[in-house]
Amino acid sequence: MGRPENGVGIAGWGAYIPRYRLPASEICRVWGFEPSTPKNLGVEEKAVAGPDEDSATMALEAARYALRRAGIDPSKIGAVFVGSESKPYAVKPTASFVADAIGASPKTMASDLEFACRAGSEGLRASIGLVSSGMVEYALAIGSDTAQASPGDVLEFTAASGAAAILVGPRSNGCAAWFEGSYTYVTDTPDFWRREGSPYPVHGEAFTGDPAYFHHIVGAVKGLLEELGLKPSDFDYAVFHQPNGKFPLKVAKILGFPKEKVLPGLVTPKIGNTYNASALLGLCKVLDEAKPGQRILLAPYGSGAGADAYSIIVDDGIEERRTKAPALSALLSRRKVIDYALYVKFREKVRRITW
Amino acid sequence: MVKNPVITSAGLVKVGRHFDKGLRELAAEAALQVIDEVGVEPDYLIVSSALSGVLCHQERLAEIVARHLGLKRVPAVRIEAGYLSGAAAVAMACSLVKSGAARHVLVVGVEKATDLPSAQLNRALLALRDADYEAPSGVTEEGLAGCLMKLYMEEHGVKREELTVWPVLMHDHASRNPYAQLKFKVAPEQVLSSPVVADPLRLLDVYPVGDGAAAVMVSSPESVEKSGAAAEIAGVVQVTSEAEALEPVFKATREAASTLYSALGIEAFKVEVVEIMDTYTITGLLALEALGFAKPGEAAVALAEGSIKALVNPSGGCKARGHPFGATGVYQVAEVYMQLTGSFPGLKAEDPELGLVHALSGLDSQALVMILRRAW
Repeated sequence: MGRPENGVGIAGWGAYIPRYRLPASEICRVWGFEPSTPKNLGVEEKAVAGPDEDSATMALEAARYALRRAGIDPSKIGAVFVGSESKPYAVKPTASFVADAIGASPKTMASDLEFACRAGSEGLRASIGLVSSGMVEYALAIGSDTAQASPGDVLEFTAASGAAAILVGPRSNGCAAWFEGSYTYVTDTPDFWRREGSPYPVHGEAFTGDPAYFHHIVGAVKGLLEELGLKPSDFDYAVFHQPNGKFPLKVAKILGFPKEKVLPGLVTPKIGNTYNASALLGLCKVLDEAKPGQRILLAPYGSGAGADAYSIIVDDGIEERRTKAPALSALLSRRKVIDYALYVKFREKVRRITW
Repeated sequence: MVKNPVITSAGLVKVGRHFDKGLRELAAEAALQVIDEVGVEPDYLIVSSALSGVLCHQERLAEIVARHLGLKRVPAVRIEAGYLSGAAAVAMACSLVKSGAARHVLVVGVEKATDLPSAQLNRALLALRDADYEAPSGVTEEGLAGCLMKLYMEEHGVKREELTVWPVLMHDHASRNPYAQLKFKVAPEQVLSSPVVADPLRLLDVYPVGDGAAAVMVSSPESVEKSGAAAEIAGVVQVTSEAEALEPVFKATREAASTLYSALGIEAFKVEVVEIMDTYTITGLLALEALGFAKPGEAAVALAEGSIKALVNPSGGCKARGHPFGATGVYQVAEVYMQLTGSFPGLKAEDPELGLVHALSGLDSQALVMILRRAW
């Protein structure tokens, strides 16, 4: 008995990582953290958006790469979703900007979504629904963030910038991979939040672990496995939301996925936590190497809290699409190291006045 | 013929981060075990909590606990004496029983410390410092403990590595205690490489933050059946020092201990099991010396050589069993009671007859020593 997701595939995918990198050692130097702190987080450096970049420009770059891989007429895109917790505007959608810039407008749905780090994924589930119902032919789901952290807070080691875009369409049109199933697990759990008007979020420290990240990802993945009648050994890759370099390995252990299946999709050690792009960039990295027939588990998580779980089967169409845009490894190696002073300037953490 | 107040039941909650439990749920979990086992409603309730006001914005805690336990018309008060709250609460209960004012006093220690993020917790803990003269300077108890550790090492020529014996031992003991917060062993290298808290004090030299609750029923010997397991509270001495320890000697502990040993006609070596309030490695070592279990400067060596006959902190102590501030003293009394009655579910002392509880406030600003004896 088929599921609605089965007729929907990934027509194209795109990733964007800014070139600037702030080494964790710089944060240690300025704030007096011990070197063991970034080591325990499993993060060496993080990607930082440049002074003329924001979550909208990055969303557009990722969307363009996804479109290149898909090779479709952009006017066929009927919905654009952008998930972010660092929008340039509280009111003025990034989605309409991206839709216009890529040629999907005016006949298109467009909306910005918020659910901490999993809004991009919520956009993906909604896109799958719109395509499977036939209401739209193609839908674009983007996760993009220039994540913020209070200066000197341990969150500064991981709050990073990046974007990922997934263009979904009918599997029958040809695709890189298709959706075997999807599941979402949501509760009201206040582990991390940012009040209206606050420049930085606050987090519940240890509370962000067991009752939040682990509880929800386990809930979503177990729910999916049960519905699809699958076990961890049926999967070739497991890509989780990656707030640091350690949590994904720990949740994999809890669920029974060996770490060899997690490591190919683990990008946070090199670029930090790109929030709405986090799990999706891990997926992009896996799509750069996965072979037709392989099965991928994708489990994004967002504070507040909720997690999704997808089972994605790689299709023959992946190889022709793969080379049409830069591989994630190319974006990872495009690096310019900056110091803490430049980071503070780029991320506007110093207050300036002009008159 | 037992004339002293006796403890006939104890209830403990595993120390840890109980995100789904507040003060009353934690208190009830420990207290109901005791009320059920003893089978009588207490005629007095003492709740010990060091910081319920600043951590949970809850004063008048004893009434709230009484109501939650379904106790009717019971007089209920909260005792606060910093970390000493729990042990002092048991001491108060003894006075009520000895005076005849009560036959059964339920003592419940409870602390809910994990609801606040670290910055707010540290601010709350400043309430345990002198608000006029210490808190505004920014000095923390950890900072003072670090200085004390340095002075101790300098005065006695003790090397830093030697002092790892304390956390290593505490974690080893806790690994066997189902009520302990940190049930994993640690190696000396891990202690020395853990993050610096206040040099030379490292993370693994400092108590962990956790929630907990412990309860005991203190009764008059005439009011209980002589058949069940029980421990009598043979004596308590509580001493406030002239000043908090500014040199590596715990004078309040020393005076309380020697006064109590004198009164009971015993010496330290007669005690077979002890629970010391080791908020930091240096507190544990200094208390061990002040209680007479080792000579000044030799506590670490004595532990390493195994030359102390008494079983020291079989619970894992504050370091590894945990330190839910105002509840800790009740944990200690409960643990020694369980050791004496053979019911402790972890590392057991061999058929002990005498047990000792040591509690302190700050860095020996005030100290309490209590001796319990197997009742019958």
